[in-house]
Amino acid sequence: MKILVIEDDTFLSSLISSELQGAGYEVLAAHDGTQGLEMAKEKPDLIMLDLVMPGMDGFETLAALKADPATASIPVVVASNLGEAEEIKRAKDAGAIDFLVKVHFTPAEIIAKIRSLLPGVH
Amino acid sequence: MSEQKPNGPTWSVVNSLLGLFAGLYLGSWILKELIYPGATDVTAYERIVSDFTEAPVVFWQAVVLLSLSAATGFFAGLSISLTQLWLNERTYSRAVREVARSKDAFISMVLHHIRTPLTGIKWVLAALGGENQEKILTPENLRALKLENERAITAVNELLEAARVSSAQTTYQVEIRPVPEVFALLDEITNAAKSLAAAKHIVLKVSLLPPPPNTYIAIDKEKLQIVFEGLLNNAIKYTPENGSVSATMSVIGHHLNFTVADTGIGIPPEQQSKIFGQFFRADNARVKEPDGFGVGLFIGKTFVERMRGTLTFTSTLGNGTTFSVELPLVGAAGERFLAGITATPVSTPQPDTAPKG
Repeated sequence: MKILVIEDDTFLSSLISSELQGAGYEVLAAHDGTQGLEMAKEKPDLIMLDLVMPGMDGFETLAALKADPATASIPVVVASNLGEAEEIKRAKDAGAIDFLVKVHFTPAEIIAKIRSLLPGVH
Repeated sequence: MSEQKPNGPTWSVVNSLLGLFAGLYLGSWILKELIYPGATDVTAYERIVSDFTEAPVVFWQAVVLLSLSAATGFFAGLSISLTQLWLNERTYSRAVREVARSKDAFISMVLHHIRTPLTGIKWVLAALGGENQEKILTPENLRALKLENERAITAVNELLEAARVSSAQTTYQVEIRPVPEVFALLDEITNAAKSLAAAKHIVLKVSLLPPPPNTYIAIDKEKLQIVFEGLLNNAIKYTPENGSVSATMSVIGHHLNFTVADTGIGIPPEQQSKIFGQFFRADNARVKEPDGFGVGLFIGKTFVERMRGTLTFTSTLGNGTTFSVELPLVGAAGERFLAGITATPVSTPQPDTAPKG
């Protein structure tokens, strides 16, 4: 089970990656949108995508992921510290299956959420 | 919001009445000059039309023509005002929507800026007592945790400082200091910034030209430190890896000059006039470093000007920016110090006014 974490904050990225690995997931870590699109070619089972990133932001990355037939079917969970109603709607309209406001969740809760979104794959 | 809604009804009435009078005038001109040219009185009009009717045709023709022209003028005036009103309303609504959008975007960015370090703190603390405790509570992560804590405090302080500055509630402790003290302050700041620059492989060049003896300056040292740190950190932040940042300080004539020049992204020419505005961030700065409130330069300029100095810049998009601070020197007793600032001699002990908590 492979998770691609696209997160520009290296501290948060390393924390969530450690927790995901501890939970038995294989983790790919990208630190910006461009790197994320490249790594998405490795067909992860799920992408955890930050929104506010330098260069290509999360919305642009999501649009690019969904526009590419090779990555369009990979479920994307947005994990951002944005979280206004308009931003959530925009992300879901663009194809995100869920929107997590990072500060509201512990890593364990995020992992539980991922498990619930990918039933039968642990 | 300074946007004023246009006064529609008054505008419409005035325009409609003007249209009505213009219509009446035009109607009477047509009647007199085109339909009955040369006629000077009603009798003449009657004589002209008596060939085809016995009725007082002239009178009714005049009434109908004048009514039609007046009504046309009235409705033309009304239409012009309504069109104008519609256009004004559209512009006004667009401005209101723009302000609302900017406000939402700003709130969203503030939340993001504060939530991000808090997330790091929460995620580390969540590991306490858990299976992953040993993997998460590493010395490296604890050091990062300390930085995240500082980051959250800095974010809140920046916002508070911007609010204080914009409402003119900032208190200043301006004191007359020997100029070498400012050089020493900059030396400390540049030393502290070296690791930041090194992490991005940026060459940080520092040039401090020794000041002449017995030179003094009236400054709020704490505020000046914020200005210097802000300019230096910005230069490093917006300079790509392997670039360079030069900080120089010298006394030229009766002024202390500090410049920080970078080989960074520069400021787009069309946005340079707004760069000192509160909460303004240039588009290319947002893309390079999404997090930020756009208050640093606003605060810096206010602080420098309060010390009777100037903060200016030159910038070329894609090539870099140079910010310059110029502060006037004063005599030892402050006799050349410009009026308007309460300065205290350096020998007088000052209370510690550093923000706490």
